[in-house]
Amino acid sequence: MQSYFKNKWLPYILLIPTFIVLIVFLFYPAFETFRLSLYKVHPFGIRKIFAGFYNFKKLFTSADYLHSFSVSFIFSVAVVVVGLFVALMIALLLNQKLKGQLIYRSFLIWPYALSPAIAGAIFRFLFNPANGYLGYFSSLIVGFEPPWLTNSTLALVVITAAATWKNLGYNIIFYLAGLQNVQKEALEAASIDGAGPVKRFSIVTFPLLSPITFFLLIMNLIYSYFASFGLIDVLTEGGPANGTNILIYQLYRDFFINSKTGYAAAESFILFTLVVLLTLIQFKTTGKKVHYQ
Amino acid sequence: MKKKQVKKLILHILIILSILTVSMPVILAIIISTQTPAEVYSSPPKITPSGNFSNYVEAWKSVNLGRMMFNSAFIAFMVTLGKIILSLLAAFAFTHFDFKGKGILFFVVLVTLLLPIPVRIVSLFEIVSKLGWINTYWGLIVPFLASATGTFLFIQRFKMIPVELLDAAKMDGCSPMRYLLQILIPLSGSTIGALTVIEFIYIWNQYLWPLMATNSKEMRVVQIGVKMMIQADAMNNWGIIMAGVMMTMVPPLIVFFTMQQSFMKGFALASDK
Amino acid sequence: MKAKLLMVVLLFLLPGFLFAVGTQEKVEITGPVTIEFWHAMGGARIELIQGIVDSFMKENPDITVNVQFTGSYNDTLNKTKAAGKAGNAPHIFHLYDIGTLGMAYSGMITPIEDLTKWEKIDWDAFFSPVKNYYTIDGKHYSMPFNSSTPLLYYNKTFFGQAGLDPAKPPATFADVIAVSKKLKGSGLGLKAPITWNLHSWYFEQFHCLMDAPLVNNNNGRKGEFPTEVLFNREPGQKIVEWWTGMEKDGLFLDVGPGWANHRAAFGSGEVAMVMSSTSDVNQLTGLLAEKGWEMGTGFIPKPAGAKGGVAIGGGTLWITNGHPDEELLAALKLVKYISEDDAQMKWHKGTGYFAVRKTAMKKLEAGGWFRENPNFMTAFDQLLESPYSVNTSGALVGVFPELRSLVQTAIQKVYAGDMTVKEALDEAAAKTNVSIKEWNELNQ
Repeated sequence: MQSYFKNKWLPYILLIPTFIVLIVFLFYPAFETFRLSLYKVHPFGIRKIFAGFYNFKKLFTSADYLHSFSVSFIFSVAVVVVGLFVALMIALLLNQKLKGQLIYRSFLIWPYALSPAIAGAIFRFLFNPANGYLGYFSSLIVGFEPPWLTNSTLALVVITAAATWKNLGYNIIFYLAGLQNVQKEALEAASIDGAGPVKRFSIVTFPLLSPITFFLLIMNLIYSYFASFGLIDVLTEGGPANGTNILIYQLYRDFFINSKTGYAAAESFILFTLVVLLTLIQFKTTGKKVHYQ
Repeated sequence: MKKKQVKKLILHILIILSILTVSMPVILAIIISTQTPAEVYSSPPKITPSGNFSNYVEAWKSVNLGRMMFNSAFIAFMVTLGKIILSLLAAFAFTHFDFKGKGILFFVVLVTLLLPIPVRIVSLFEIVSKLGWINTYWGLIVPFLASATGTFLFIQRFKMIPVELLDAAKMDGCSPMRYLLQILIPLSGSTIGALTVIEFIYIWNQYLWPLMATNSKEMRVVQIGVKMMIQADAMNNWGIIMAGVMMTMVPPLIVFFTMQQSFMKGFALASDK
Repeated sequence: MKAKLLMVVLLFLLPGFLFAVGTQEKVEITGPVTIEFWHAMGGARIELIQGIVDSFMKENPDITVNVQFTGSYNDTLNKTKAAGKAGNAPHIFHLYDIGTLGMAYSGMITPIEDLTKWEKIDWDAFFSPVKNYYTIDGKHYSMPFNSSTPLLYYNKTFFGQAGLDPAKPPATFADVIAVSKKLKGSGLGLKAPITWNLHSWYFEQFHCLMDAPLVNNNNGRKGEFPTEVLFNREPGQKIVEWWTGMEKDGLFLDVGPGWANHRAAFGSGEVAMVMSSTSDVNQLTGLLAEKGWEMGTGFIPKPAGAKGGVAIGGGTLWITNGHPDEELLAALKLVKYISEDDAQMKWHKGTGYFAVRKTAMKKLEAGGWFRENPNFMTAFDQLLESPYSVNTSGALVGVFPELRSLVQTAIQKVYAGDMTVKEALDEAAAKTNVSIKEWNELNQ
């Protein structure tokens, strides 16, 4: 069934470029980072003291770090739930037979090309406490200007909206691909049985979409844990009152602003275990690979 | 018959409403990007467009946007190209050869999925500093050249190519590299297309690493430019900032729209399994 | 590639010859020397600095200076660190005031005073608050460059319309509240009467005004590292009570952190008063003039009877180590040049930052500058009226950047109503103390 070229050295030579990059820029730095997590490191790296699990102990007893955990969790769940729901609804609309559907599709999946930083900049302008449009619109409706970016709960709502918007294109694309794979016969069979469109969706289409939904769930989780860094940095810088201080932002702060390399390294390791966990769940349940990008 | 038309009309309206909602942030951003400073700083804010297109000129100059766009495009292009080449070679090795340690080596590539940049950034920064690659194109390109995603996409594609082709080629005495170049690569067009869009946009949109790894205005990339535009202006003239943001959105949109077809095909392929 | 190898070898040798550098008694620049200068001033200030450096190069034809704007202070610091690891740190870099103690113990700088045996610097010409901030145990570490304090700006036109005296800005905490209430009730359509950005800098300055220390061990200024913060004591509580109390009563507009929103809110007439840096005089005057409004300035408010003064903030220029003596001398010449009267007068006029030397100010005064620009005078008067003490010199803390973000978070927690003032400050203090302890351990 499987046929190979016979060559002793060529496969290794073909793999050399990939492995050089992997070792120098992935495995070695990861290993070094994990090693540093066991040290207290001088802000300028001129001294380090072995400290065992000190950094981890401190992190897991730090109210701020635990808070960052829960912010990340709430944010990621919100991005997943809202994002997937909206994307699925739009994908269903785009899956109908309509004139101009191809053009409609382009105009709905273009946010795929948005970057987190750009989404952040646009939302920062819209919700800015001075001269922001959305602040003004909302004041016309509710009679006062909600402190969109200066209240931690509302700021979390804003970053969720921005992240959902940025991710919309990606999610719609996958749902569309999934919907096109859903067996037509299955739908017809259900409609012969006299099921209405809503029932048809809930008993036939949605279950068939569940592998894609699950894949998107993991992708969106990883996106909200990592890739939303640019969004947060431009939009809220983790504030107000750490209300949008997700784990990756805390890591950046500890490493780059507070110069606490040991802590930052420990936080890297914690993030690593999170990724491992998510990936294992993904493998166990669908046997699919997770692509980070 | 009539009922069907009504239903279609409702669907059209719903889709157009969705498009409007999804585009609204950008529409508002374009509106403010045409306003004069006095209009931008007005209380209550002015929500109608004006004719001040000098904001686009200002934004272009204020942070040297042209150079940044070039940097981002160059880096994205080089990484995309490099990744495709490296992934093609690796996928070819894994699918068309039997060799010692294949299982382990494949596992090693697989494990890299667990190591996104943030997990190793502390030491990656050290290594790139020690190589003297901070603030160079090397530092922005080389660490991203190996990709498990690309390798897997090509492995999937290669596995779908009928084995008879390979047997026939071997009969003809076709060398492995010729087989790769003349048979496999031409057959992998849509995978290459999908990967090009994914990687180009991924690198173009990257933020954390270029933020750390560059420092001069000659080396900055466009995403950092977005933040710099916000920082550079003492009073956040959103007219100028949004003008700049709109310009930075253009290149990835062009890539996306021109490659949309093969991208969608590549994706459908990827999600087929 | 060879050059890189050589660099690596040199890196390993570095500790050995580090101590050799800077020990020569006499150094002269004999041939062409090139030095790197990284700074953190964006926008129009990039060209201003380039202009100053250009005239320096004209006077010193042997010295070539590569100037680079490297982003915020924090970015600049990190980039300098990275470059240091690669063995090519810039000769001069620009850093915020609060990094002073951290840099002094970084192992990568040369104190300016260690180099002054090659070329004298007239320290007496400097304003003493400026000079004092960057002096540790009587030793000058870095060269004052851009210095500023906060200032109160107010919209005279709005004051007039609200029936207030446009010539009289509020001077005390209680005045600010009284004036704000009047403005709020005047039907001017303000979002709120007053604002300033969420920044710990103001919190620190109010401590100085009350002559209260921010940290123990003489504010960290008498040879011992501080071991705990004192900002959660009575003065700190009083400041935050006043600040957040105004926000609760709708007198204060919370515009969040950053340096743009408060200016924009003032410029668009959303507020009638703003506190900001003295380096904003030019910008804000222009912005209000565009709308046909007149702007006034006043000292930043303090509690009635407080006897302290403002501390000088801003940035200084640091010289790194590990360079040949000739290059260090060239770097010294440049920072000296930038701190001298001509450059400082140009800098002051272009930006609104103080001139760091008394002599420069006298020249400005003689030229009639302050008569034409009375708002700049307010800033100088405020500085000159500040008495000297360890408290008004500003605190020396190794973990200052972290302290700041903790203080800001504490204030936001009070805004949100999650905590009382005391709870929030106590929490921030406890967290800062842990970090201080760790920092001290690593720097012993």
